[in-house]
Parts: sequence; C-alpha cells; structure tokens
Amino acid sequence: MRARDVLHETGAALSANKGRTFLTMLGIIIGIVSAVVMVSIVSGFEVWLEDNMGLGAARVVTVSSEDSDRPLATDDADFLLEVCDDLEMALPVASGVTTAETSSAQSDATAASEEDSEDMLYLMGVDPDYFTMEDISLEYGALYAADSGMALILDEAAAESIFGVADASVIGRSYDIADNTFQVVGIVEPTSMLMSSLSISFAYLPYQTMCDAVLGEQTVDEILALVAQGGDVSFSAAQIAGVLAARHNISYDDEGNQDVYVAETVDSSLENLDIFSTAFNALAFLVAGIALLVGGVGIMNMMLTNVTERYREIGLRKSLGARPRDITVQFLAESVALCLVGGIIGILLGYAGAWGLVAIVVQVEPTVAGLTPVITVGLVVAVVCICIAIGIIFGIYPARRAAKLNPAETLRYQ
Amino acid sequence: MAPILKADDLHRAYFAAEAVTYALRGVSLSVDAGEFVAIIGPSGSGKTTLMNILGCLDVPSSGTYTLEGVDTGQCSENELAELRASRIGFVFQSFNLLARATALRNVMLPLVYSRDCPRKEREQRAVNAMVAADFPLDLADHRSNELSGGQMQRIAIARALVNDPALILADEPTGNLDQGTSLNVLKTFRSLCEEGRTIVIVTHDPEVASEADRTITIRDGLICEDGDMR
Repeated sequence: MRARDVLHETGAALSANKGRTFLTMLGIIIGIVSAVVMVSIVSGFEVWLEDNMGLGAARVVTVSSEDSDRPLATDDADFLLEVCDDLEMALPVASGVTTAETSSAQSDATAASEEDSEDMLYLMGVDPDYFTMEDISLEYGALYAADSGMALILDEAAAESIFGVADASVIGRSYDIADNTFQVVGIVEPTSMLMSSLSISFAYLPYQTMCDAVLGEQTVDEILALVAQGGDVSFSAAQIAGVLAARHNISYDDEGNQDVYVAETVDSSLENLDIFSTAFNALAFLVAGIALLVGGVGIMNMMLTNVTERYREIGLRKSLGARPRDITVQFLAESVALCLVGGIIGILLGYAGAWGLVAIVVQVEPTVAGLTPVITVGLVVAVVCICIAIGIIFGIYPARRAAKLNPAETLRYQ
Repeated sequence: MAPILKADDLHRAYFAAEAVTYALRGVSLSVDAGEFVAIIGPSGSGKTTLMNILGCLDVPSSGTYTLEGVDTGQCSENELAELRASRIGFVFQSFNLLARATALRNVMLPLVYSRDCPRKEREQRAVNAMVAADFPLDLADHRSNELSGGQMQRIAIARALVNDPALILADEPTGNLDQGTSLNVLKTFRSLCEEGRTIVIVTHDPEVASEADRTITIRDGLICEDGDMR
C-alpha cells in the first residue's frame, strides 16, 4: 500500500463520520490548547521582560558583595571606573525600604489610622547618572544633582500612594523620611512595570543624602557599572570581580572562583529567570500531558469501536489482498491523523487563546502593555512530535487487533 | 492441461467451546482453466468453508490445496494475501462495496494492494473491468450506495476482474438479486467464461447451478456428486 493510498483512505475514513472524528479530537485539542496558551505566554513574557529592561540594561553590570563582613567600599565605584577601560559609568547604590504613608497622615500624626496604605516604598540612594543608566525618563519636574541634599524623586506609583496624584502639582511638596523633610523635585515613569504591578513603588534621593540622613552610615549595597557601547559585557563583569577581589585582598579558590564579590549581567539574571520559565513550562506540559492522556484514551476507544464497526470492510480488504501490515498501517494512520489534526487545531486555537488572554490581562493590568504571546518553531515541532507519538501509542493496539482478524470470519460478520 | 486449482482430501474442523464441528471431511476436486463450475449444497453443507479455502481466506486443517501449482498450506499470511491480490477475484452475495466510495474507486480498490500496478494505470484498468462486467460507465462517478442491486453486483464483478485473476470465486452472487437481474449477472459470468476465465460459483440454488458447465454437489462436508451438465 503506497503512502498516497494510505493518505487517501485515511481522509475518506475520517471524513465519513465528521461529528465523531471531531469529538474524538477534542481531547487532544484541549490538551494542546492548554500547553500552547501557557508556554506561549511564558515565552512572550520572557521577550517582554528583555524588551522592558531598558535600552542600556544589557550593558549594565551589577556588583554586590556576598559576604557581609567584607562590604563594598564607598570609593570602589571610582576605583573601578579608573581601572577598567571599558566602563563608562560606575555608581554606588544604597537602598532601604519604608512604608509609603499618605502626606495627610504625616502632617497630622493623630490621623494615622489603620486605613493608611501599607504599600512598600523602596528608597534608592543614587546619583542622577542612575536614571540614564537604567533608562528611566522624567515625567514632571527635574532631576536632582548629586549634592542636592534633601531632594526626592518619586516614581508615579509612589506619588499616587503618597499624594493621591502623580502630576506637576506634586513638585515642591514635602515628605518626611526618617525624621528628615524632603522636597519632591521630580516624578519619573514607573521604574519597573513588574514592580509597580506588585504595588511596590520607588523614591530616589542623592546617594550621599541617603547615607547621611536616612541610613546614618556610609553604605554601598551594590555598584552599577555601565559598559561602553561595543564593550564585552561578560568580560567586563569578570574583570570587575577580579579587580575588586584583588583590591580587597581576596584570593581565588582552587577552581579560580572567589565568592565574595559578584558581578552580574542581564544575561546572568535572565538565566535565573530561565529556571522559573523552565519550571513553568514543565508544569504546562504536565497539565497538557494529563489532558493528552485522557484524549489518547478517547482515541483508543474510538478506534476500537471503529474496528468493530468495520469488521466487514476489514474482511473485504483482506480478501482483496491486504496484508496484515496494510491493515495496521491504515488504522494507525487514522489515529495518527486524528492526533495530528487535533494538534494543529490546538496550536492555532491555543495561539488565538493566548492573544485573547493577553488582551484581557493588558486591560486589567496596563503596566504589561506590549506583552504578546510567542510561539517558537521548537514548540510547534514538540507539539507535532507529541501528537504523532500519542497517535501511535494509543492507535497501535486497535490497529494490531484489526490486522489479526480472520478474513473468513469477518466477511460473515453481520 | 494442468488444473488451475487442485484440492486433495481437505478437512476443516472448527473448535468452539468444547464442541468440534467438521465442516469438510475429505474433499478432493480439481478445476481446469476456463471451466465454469458451480458448487451446490444446502445450508451447512460446508460449501462456504470450501470456498474460503479455495479463495485462500482460510487454510484446511489437513489435506493440500494448490492454486496454479502453489501449495497454499506452505504459504505465510503475507504470501496468501499476495495470492488473493493477484490470482483471485471475489464476488460476494452482499456485494461488500465501500458505501462512501464511488463505483470507480470500488473497482480500483484491489489495485491499492497490488504491487505491480502503477497508479496511472489503475483508472484505465478499472474502466476496462467495468466494460467487461457490463457496467454502464456513465455511472462510474456515482457512489455505490446510489446504485441498484444489479449495478452493485456488476461493480463487484468488475472489482473481481480488475487484477486479471486466474480464478473468479462467487459466493451466492445472485442471492440478493431479483430473477431478471440474476439472469443478466449469470450471462455476464457466462461471457467471461467464454473469454477464457475460470469461474467457480457457490450457491444453494439449483437454477443458478444449472447455468454452469459443471456442478459439484456437496453435503455434510463431502462431495456427493460431480458432473458435467452440458
């Protein structure tokens, strides 16, 4: 039996009972749709995150100390800028967390009640270069200078939770942090869409002010270094870690690693993200796997019914010269075709469904605007392979059963 | 002349539950090329079992059956399928057509399993077979369930002819047809025989059997009469 004949017979057999064929496919379609929706949204989210990390993000190296006994020094940033050729900027960051209190609650201490918002407010002690490096643009007011003193820049979410509005009227108003009164000089766009979607807002103040007035000590939580355009980011990261280790007299271990100063690039943080997306994808395939198992059993059930219903046809084909192998191939082709067509419909519906779902998510949560589901060739190939495998696994038993039927007996079957 | 088929002391026993049924109890016969033979017998006489063995759909419990010199007892399942595909044409009482397929596709069906017919030749061979079976070609594109009983049986005969078989086996070919149509179908068999085809009809109807050149009467699994009618 030639391949074209197999295709022809399969098409004829499956189109003979379209309703049943579709219902049988439904199990497979549901399984594939669920997998495609989840995986394509996760892939889309990865792409979206990369796109939204800021233009310079790929060139930023984040340096931190893993050992609290050997913190970064205040002048480490300047030292790195001096020693490493490729660095364009390097600035220390001192950060802290407080609660965003409404300005009215601050002005009238007795009014502080349980109704007050408990939103987290991240305090970032950074010099104005930070806004360039992280590609954060100013919406209202102006940036502060490194020596501006009690100047404060809020992101939109922080302005909203403190003053109830995020517009030019906030500029010039004051806000107390750690018993110091700060003056708002500017409002910036949301720092991170992810963070603001989690109700975490940011307030920025000059680095030195942060150390002196808020923390009360000279602190460097991390150093952000910007590698010059065209520079080798991973090389610079390795160089930075090495330079700092040498400066602080830390020797490498036998494997050439030192675990005190860590210099991370966007790529290495994306690798961490990969672990999550891999885990999520595994979950997606588990859910899909259960649905597909159920779908596969449905296919087997339908194929067994099919074999019984077509006893006479099987007998006829055998009497006309069909070998057992021809019968096996014919029935197997039907179950594989069912799964494959179901899989392809599943991919299309899943992709459409993912777009629909993303549209709803973007409506509800505008911060993730620009998120689109992504279907990779790898996903399509995986789905196709899985569908063929299901067709074979659940189709082989009915097909073998059909092939083994005795032609003389099946021809007599009423 | 060497016989087309030769059966020697065929026995066939069926084992069901704890009972054993002997359908054939020592049948020997031979048929020469170009013969028109009717095997006649009442229901339960073993004639269908004999036809199944002659058609290589079944193998005897003991005894030998050779088709064109090939001992079918020595054949594997695939070799038997190959014999059915190339050397035997079946015509059934209930036509056994694929209802959803056109008349032409039904006639071409055996060629799907034949390894020596290129796709391009299939349609021409099917048309030739339909002409030989006296089937009106303008109905070739009709689905088989749109045809009359007589037309369906002609499709079945054309299907049996399409592989140019050595032997045409017909099991009660007129069983589902009215008298007039039956006569026409039998005339078709007669003309095929005159063209040199070997035809074996299995029937319980003496009138149908009388159309053949030779009648073999079978009763209780044994041949009780084998005679030339003409």
